Amino acid sequence: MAGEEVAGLRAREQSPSPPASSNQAAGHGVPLNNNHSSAKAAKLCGSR
Amino acid sequence: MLPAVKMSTTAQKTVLQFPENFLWGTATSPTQVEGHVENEWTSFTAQDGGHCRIACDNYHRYPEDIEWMSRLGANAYRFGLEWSRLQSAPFAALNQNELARYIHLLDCLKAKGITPMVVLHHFSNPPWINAAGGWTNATTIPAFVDFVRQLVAALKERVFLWNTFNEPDTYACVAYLLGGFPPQRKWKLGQFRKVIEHMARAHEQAGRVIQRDGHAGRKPEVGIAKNWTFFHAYKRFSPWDRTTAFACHYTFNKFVLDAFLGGGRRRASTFIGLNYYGRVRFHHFRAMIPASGTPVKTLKDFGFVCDDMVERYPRGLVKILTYLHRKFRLPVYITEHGAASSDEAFRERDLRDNLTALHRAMAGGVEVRGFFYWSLLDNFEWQFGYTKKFGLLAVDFADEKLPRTMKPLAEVYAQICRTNALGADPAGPKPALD
Repeated sequence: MAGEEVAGLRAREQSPSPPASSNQAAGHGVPLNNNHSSAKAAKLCGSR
Repeated sequence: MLPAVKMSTTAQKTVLQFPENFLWGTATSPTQVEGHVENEWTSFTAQDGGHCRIACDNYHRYPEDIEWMSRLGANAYRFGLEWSRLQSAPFAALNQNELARYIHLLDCLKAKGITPMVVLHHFSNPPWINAAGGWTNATTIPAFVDFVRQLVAALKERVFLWNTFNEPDTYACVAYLLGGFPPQRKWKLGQFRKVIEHMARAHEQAGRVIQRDGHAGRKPEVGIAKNWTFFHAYKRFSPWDRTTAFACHYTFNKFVLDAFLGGGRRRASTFIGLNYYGRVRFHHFRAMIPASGTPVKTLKDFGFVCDDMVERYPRGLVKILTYLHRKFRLPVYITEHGAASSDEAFRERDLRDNLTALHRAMAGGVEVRGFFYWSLLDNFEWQFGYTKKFGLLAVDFADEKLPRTMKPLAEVYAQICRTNALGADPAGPKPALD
């Protein structure tokens, strides 16, 4: 695919969600839907 | 016939040479690096308040990231094809715009001499799969196999290494037992078993499709990536420690391996992908690792050497590789290994010790065809957000431009990639991590 087509593709791509330009949710640092007990959940098998 | 693994006989006796055509790669996954995904992680907020909606913006910046791979001297790249981008409904035709972007990515890799290994499932599903119960629902199996069939037809000219499922054990465990991944269920052992069984059936069918339809000049290769964690008792004679360790080993290692590779299902795979990080030891039912909330100081007092996630255990790599070789007689790719830590010297020691272990296993007869460092970039580490730094490249997430910079470990890894060898540590020998 030509570079121009890819550029067009990118231009057409509608970012679905980010209201802000950062990776931080509103209410910075406060888990919204990830409860605190799960924060302590033993990650026995890793999760890369 | 196994490829030759030689110990150098020159003055530098500690140089470990790897076989010709050995793959040295890096690895990523769509949700963790691409950004702009529409799956169950889109609305998920991690413990640090982070989300994956931009991540590293690799969706737009893949040409730059491939340039970085080239600078590293890597000749392989393991990455995911995001199902939710490519299909909007069960059995729908693939989204041609999104497919074209992945094809361009593959062509960029080829232009740099980088062999792709594609991952077809890495902890995420399209919304319409999740709405129907995800992998607890058996109807997900034919939907996934259809997705694979269409992908193989579209990409077989460009891809011969297919990785169906990344760490199905981790996915089922953290999503249905520990509540850390969407849908955040806890202790649903029946659902855990269903997810594993359905994924194993999907792998079996997808593996046959890939081997049957994926020929295009080069024989296709297919396998899962099994996360192997050793589960040990801290006190050898403690019944509590031993019981917990055995239960975890049985559930996450033996049951999962049997489901995917036992009996006739072994024929669906032509290789085993191994994600290896280390071990977990249990003390009074408690997992003694930082990722379970055990303070680092406590772990140090116990004499445990950990990165930010799990205890390091390089000699375990020899054990598991030898075990897999004897049991299944399939070639292996180390589809992931890495360490999350801000201590680059520690990460270098970890890499050296694990590659030394890998070389030892290969010298003992295990056929290993490649090694993929997790990860190319610092990225969105699931429930932990951006706090775990696995990247060879740092990403400045505070800067809207998300600039990438090489970390010291990247220089070390680049030297390994370029020479196809692990050279002597210029800082002199150090005691092994374990």
